[in-house]
Amino acid sequence: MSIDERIREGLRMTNTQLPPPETTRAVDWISSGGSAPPRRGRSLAVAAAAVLVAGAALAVGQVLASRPDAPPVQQPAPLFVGSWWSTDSDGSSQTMTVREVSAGVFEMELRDDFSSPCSGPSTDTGPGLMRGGMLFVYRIETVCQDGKTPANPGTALNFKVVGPDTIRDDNGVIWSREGSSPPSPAPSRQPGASAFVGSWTSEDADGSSQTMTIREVSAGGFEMVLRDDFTGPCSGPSTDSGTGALRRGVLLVRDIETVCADGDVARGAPSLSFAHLPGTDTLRDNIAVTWSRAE
Amino acid sequence: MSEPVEISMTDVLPMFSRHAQRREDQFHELFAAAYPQVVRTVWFVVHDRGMAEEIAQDAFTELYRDWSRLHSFDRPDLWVRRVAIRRAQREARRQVRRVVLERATGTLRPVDDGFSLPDPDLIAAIRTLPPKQRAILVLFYLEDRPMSEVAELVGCSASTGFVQLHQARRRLAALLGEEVDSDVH
Repeated sequence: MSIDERIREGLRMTNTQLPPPETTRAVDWISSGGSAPPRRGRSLAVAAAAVLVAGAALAVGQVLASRPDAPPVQQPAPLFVGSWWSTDSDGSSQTMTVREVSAGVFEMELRDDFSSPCSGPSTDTGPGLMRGGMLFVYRIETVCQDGKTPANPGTALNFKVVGPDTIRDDNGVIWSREGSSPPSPAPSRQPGASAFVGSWTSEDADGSSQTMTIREVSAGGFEMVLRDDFTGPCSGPSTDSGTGALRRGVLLVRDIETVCADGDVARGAPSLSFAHLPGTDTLRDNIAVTWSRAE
Repeated sequence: MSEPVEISMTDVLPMFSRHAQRREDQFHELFAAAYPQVVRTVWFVVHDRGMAEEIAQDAFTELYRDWSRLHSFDRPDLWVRRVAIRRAQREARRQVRRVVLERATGTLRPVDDGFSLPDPDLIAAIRTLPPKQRAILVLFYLEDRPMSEVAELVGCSASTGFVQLHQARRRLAALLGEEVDSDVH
């Protein structure tokens, strides 16, 4: 037998012997629409893990499983439960209510007096779980006050305790508990064009590196060119370009065209929005990628 | 001339919600179809079942977070596999450091994933390979992917991929007493 046959045969036989991955309570629960508390898993491993993870190891919706050697459960949440308020990076006011609907399972309702997808007031709702000491809210549904429903499954937010009566989401927005004093530092004024114009770098969620240049091409008009060294549609490098405008401190880039390095035109994100994170020289886009100003 | 068609919000809203539901369904389908094999592939790199599941879940978590953007990709399954493979390589490198430390402190414990291996010598030999070579080996031999795709997934050029594969084959052949009869292409 040659080494190639041995490797191929050995890998295939092992592959068939490997037990299937466990399905999890989280998978079942979220598949059911998040409306019922997590059910017990079917195997001993899952049952053991269920005891350990109730709340702590559950991550983004569908895809969390548990390990028998997972760390002890963190007691969730009086820290997050209650009413909160903040000023968004676009200057709008937001309020949020978090309540615990059953042990370790939360529900969030967030009202924003201006959100970019709605171009007006909106309400976000979604189930939440504790993960790594943070409240993870996922499958957020946004409903605009005018009745429009932006199609945005998959959006999620993490909240982390940063001080007494203060939490921060992963857009960098500081939330204060209702009735407490304003967060410090106080929300900054809306950023201008200079906060966005320039060259930026980031690392995409897939580990590829990206560079972006934003130019002001006319009064209030912007042009974005974003180069990524790997994108799925192109299976390689690509360049996105689009035009944008500032709206209440958020740069909205629309009509984005993605051109692959080999010249093909691929479908990319139709639009992107960028918020300037107060007190930093970084941007955050609406798919949670953080951009740092290039040296 | 045809009559103008009036479209009310009540007509449009169900379309939005159907669109959202379809995308959600697409994620569930992709997860159901790809998750088990992603876990298995990662297992061949990290040789730890719990760790493999965790890495695969984290990769799908990333996919889910960006699903509104990534669902339009031609091959979102390749995207998630790429994320998982690269995380597996990072984790395997950490494991190597941990094993060295455990050996030094005399606390090294064998990994027991609770199932019998059909060719334990082969798996033991694969464990001696650098993580990138393990990943290349499993993507090339088990998943039958062309080297251009294997290279994309592990993060190197195709020529580097072939060099790494060649080194892995030679090492395994030496350890297992097999012959390397020809080069792979």
